[in-house]
Amino acid sequence: MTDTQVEAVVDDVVRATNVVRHYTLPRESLFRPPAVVQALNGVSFSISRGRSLGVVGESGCGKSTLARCVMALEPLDGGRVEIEGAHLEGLTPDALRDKRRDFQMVFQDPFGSLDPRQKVARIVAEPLEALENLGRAERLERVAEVIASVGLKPTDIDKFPHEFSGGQRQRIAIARALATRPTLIVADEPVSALDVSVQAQVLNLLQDLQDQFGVTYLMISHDLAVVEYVCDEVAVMYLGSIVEHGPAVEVFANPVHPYTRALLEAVPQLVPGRKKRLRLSGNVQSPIDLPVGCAFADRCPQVEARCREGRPVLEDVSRGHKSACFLNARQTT
Amino acid sequence: MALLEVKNLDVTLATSRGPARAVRNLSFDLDRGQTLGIVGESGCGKSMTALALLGLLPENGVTTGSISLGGQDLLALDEDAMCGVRGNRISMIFQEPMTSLNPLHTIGRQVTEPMLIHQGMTRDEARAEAVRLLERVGIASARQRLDNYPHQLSGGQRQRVMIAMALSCKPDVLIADEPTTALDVTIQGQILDLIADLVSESGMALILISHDLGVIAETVDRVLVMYGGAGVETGPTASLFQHLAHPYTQGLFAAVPKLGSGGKGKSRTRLSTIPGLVPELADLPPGCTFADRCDLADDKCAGTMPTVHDVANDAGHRVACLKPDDAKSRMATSEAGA
Repeated sequence: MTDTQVEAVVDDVVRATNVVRHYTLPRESLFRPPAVVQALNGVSFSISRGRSLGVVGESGCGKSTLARCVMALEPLDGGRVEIEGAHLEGLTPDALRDKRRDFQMVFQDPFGSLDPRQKVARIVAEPLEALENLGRAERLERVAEVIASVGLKPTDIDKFPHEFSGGQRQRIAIARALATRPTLIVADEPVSALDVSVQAQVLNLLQDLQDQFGVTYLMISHDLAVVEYVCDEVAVMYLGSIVEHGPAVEVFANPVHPYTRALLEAVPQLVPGRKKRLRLSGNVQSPIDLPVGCAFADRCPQVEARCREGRPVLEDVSRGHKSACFLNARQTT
Repeated sequence: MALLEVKNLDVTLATSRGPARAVRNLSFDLDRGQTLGIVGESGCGKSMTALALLGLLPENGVTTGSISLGGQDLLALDEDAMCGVRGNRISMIFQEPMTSLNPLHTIGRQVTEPMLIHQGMTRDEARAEAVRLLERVGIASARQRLDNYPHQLSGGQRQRVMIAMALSCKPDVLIADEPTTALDVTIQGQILDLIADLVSESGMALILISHDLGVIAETVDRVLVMYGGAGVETGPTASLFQHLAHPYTQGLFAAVPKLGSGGKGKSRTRLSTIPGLVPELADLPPGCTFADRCDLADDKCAGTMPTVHDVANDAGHRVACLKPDDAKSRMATSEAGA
């Protein structure tokens, strides 16, 4: 097999190249073309085996659309997504279904993502029934195994979701995602619905599972500190594009893009007293009819004339650390 | 006498599982121009406290104790009299700007309503005042916005409209219940700055309720930490964050992922967690509400009401705990270790 060969070159679990996703809105007038929401405008990234990438950004920046595109829950309007070397959009529906074993998702809301009328055993076994050809005994064994690995009791499998708290429900959702032994788990805001003390338990669990099973994470979050804690790499998105991407330690310590700087600056710190800080004015622009130039130009404190004329591309500022800004050179010096 | 004095406030909700003490024996006071932050996790009673102050508890709720505003006992007022206080002398900014504005009425109608009711303004006066308020809270082309409906505004703008409504009658006390939880982080900063500016401008008192320790640390002078309906620690913000006297405050602080900690890349440290779950209000022990999750607790804690101690001689920094010395020495060792 080519496995060893692939590993020798570069072992990427996911590779997304130039992913584009646009939504056409209903026509408002017969005589004008319909408006288009540009949710993703050419997003590229890859995650190597056993590593984790955090995608951060504000609402409407396209981070959840990106998660759905990677999960093949949305058709792409351009570009491609490869998981474990297979191009997802080229697969037949049957082959795609088979492939889904390798990538599973944890959703944001643990209250909405578990069927209230099914017992935990059935919820966790569902991906196995749908995707794997296992006998009943094997299935039960697998369920017991993942339930134990997320720290729930063996007796919990006969309970209904309403008998659990938010943190425990998120553990069930994680167990369900682990059931098919995937190599990639896409987690869309996995802890944002949880209380602080419970959030810490779930974040530790995600870390432990990675150590134990070597799963790869694509984690979507609006909380920068959560991403810094869990992820090796971070990608900052703004209006459908990645504006900065690099090792988490590096990006958080030396942010280069003005948007990343503003975002980090805006996070309230656990230090008493009011701070005078740079505030971004205005709102995130609507992703309909984006301007020609840099999408961040309207809110950028350092905007120049050329920012409104052309769109900057992601360029290396240091090894593995990229930023899409015309002023990159100035920021790093 | 302070502007707002809350003494021994108890809120009991009749639930199918028996009475749940949503707030127990809570006391605090607040003067003009002061800001108090109430912090805690879901179900700790922070929102119930706010609703009790406004007389807006659900029908199965019973309040005892006293809430006095400028010498007047609010709990003794009947509903008609309370209507004169609510939105007028105490007003509130709710968490969810998407659902707390009425989608069927224009912004103008909703902002002018309290002024028409409480201040007897004419429609024209109220409209002029509404334009001034909307401009003050940072809404561009305010005059045109008056005729917009809530769905035509973004989340941040809607929260600004909520703030304008809350300020319209120049209240003595402003309660902000998680005012930025539904907003993006860059917008959150703008709104917190706005609230802080308005408080220092008008001299009103502010109660800011939040689960986010960072928001609390940066916005208020004094903090009240609640757990299971009880106030477990209160004090000036600087002193509280320096000493972290209650085991729960310590646990909460340690469980927050902190930005700039180096995170995974450097050390792969684990977050410290508080074992167990946030308890159901109906199942709380009679003594310290935190006893079953506290690693310092012994048999005595669950059965005995915790005593209140002063912390570090700081004015007004108090902790309700039976083992404050153990908690303190633990903090000292963890600091020495770090």
